[in-house]
Amino acid sequence: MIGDAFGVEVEEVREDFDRAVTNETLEVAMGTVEAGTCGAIRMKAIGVVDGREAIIVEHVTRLAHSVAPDWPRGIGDLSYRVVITGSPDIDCTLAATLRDPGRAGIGSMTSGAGAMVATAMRVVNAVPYVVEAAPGLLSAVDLPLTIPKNVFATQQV
Amino acid sequence: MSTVPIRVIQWATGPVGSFQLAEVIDNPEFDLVGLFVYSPDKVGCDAGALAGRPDTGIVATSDKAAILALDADVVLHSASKAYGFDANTDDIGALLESGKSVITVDVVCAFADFGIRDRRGIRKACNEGHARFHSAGERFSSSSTVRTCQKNECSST
Repeated sequence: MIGDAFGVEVEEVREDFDRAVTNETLEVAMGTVEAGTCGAIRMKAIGVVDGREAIIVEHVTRLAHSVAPDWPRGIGDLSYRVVITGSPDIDCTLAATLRDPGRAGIGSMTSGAGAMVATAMRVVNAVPYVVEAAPGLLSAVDLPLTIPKNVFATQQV
Repeated sequence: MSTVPIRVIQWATGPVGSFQLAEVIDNPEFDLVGLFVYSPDKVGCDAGALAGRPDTGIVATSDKAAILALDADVVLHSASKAYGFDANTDDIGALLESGKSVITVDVVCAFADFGIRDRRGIRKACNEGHARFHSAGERFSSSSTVRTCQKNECSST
C-alpha cells in the first residue's frame, strides 16, 4: 500500500526476526518469565525498492523496560513511531493511552487499552467515508482524511 | 455527509468491538441495527448491556444468516484472528455479497498471506453487492507516508 501510494514497485519483501534475553526474572500477566529466557521480540517486514531496504514496518515487544535496552523504545508502555529519513528527517512518536480502561469496558487491560480504543476509533471514523465511496476495495490511501463527525457530541472528557 | 443515520451492524464485541459498539450507540450519526457475537454468554444480551450503555432494543445473536438478512449500510467487523483467518474472509465475503459494506480491523490487505485469490474474491463480492471493503487494520496501516514504523509495546507493570 505504501509502495502504491508512492508509485514505486516493491520488488521484494524480506523478513527479520530477533529475540532478546531478560537478565532478571519477570512477573507479567501471562506468568513468570525466568531470567535467561526470552524477554523481548523484534520483527520487521521490509520492502525493497531499487535494491534498497526502503520501507520498513517494525514491531518491538518487551515484557519489561529493562530488556533489550539497545532496541528502539517509545513513550511509556506502548507507542507508535514514524521515522522518515530524508530532507528533512522526521521522527514522530505517538502514544495512545486510556485514563480509565474500565469506562471503555476493558478494565482488565493495562498497556494495550489505548491501542484497542485507537483501533476502534479508526474503524468508526472511517464509516461515513466508506459508505460514501464508490463500491470496491478501499485502502487508507483511497479514502480522504477520516475526520470524525459529532466528536464534540459524544466526547467523554 | 448524509443527515439520515448510517445503519450499522457491529460484528463481535471484544476489547475493540465493544468500544466501537459504545460509539455507534452514542453517536447520532449512526443507527445500530444488528449485533453479532461469538460467545454463547453474550447471545440474547441487549447491545447496550455489552457496551456499558442503556438498553437499545438490539439483541446480540450468533446467527450469521440472521445478520446477513438484515438491511444495513455497513458492518464493523472486529473479529479476532483467534477465530480464524479463513472464516473471517468467508464472513466478510458473504457480508459484502449481501450488499453491506465492511470495515474490518483485520489487516487482510496488508499481509502477503492475503493472496490474490482472496483479493479477487473480495473484489467480486464487492461488485455483486455494490459494497465497499476497507481494512482499517489494527497494525501497520495508519499512514501512507511511513518509511520506517516502529511499535514499542511493554506488557508488564
